[in-house]
Amino acid sequence: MEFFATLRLALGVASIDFELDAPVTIKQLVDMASQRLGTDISQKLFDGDKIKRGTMILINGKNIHHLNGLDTLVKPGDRIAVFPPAGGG
Amino acid sequence: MLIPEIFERHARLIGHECFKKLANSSALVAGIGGLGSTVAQLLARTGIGTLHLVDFDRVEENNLNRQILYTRQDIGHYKVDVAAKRLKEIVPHIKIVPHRKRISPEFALPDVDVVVDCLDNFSDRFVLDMLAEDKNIPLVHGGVARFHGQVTVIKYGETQTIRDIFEEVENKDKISVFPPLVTLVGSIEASEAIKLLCDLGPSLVGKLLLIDLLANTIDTIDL
Repeated sequence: MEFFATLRLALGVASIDFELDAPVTIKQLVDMASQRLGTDISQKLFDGDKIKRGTMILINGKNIHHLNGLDTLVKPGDRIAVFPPAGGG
Repeated sequence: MLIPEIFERHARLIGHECFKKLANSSALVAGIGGLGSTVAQLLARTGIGTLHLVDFDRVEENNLNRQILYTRQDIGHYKVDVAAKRLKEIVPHIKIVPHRKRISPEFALPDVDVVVDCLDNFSDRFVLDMLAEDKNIPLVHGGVARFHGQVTVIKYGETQTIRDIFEEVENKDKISVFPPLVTLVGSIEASEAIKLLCDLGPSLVGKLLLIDLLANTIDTIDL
């Protein structure tokens, strides 16, 4: 799981590797990341059971909105990118 | 082909073929604000033949921190009119086609070689994305917010679209942004547009470049 831009600065970490015995959901993976970092990062990324609209999560370059949202399963080898999209011009 | 003196310091660098291609190419810059000021200016200064500029807004004082085509004397004037005049002052032989319009489904996208997205919100970007996809014109996307920004290049039928990548994102208004970031992201967009037109070097087709000037990070994600 890789963090980019301001998220990386806020969390103080660029990426976390997980060893998965079985697929987990994105939500579960974020909980695992929170445990690893010792801080609840779901508050930064989620609004209840939805992704915050100021956050993007891609699995292997695909927006999880096109997959199964926070219930999307993450498999060994998948790369998860988390970052804030920039909308201004 | 005779190289005008203004282009002397880069024409050899990019090569005669590329220079000729640029001179015979056209680009549409959607939004002539922060990103668009830089993109339009760099495309003109590098030698593009025709530039279409699209914007419905007038210059305001609070634009002057980052919209580097404009000065205090331009406040109250339409951006496309000021930009067209200024770009012609820099490169007299360039063809500028101003469109004093907002990007909307009714906008008749001209048959340009590349579209450069310098808009300031995702709703209008999604419309531009559909217009470019309909005509199968490649699109260079850039966006900025606070200290961070992103750039990608869309080739329809080959890559994901802007709607695919940024589905469901927040559509914030009046975003605070660090002025040096704006010109940096605009410069990368201009560079990608030129590389696309000339088929130069590895491009950001199918890749998302993420920049954060506060953290000093530049990353690329495969899309």
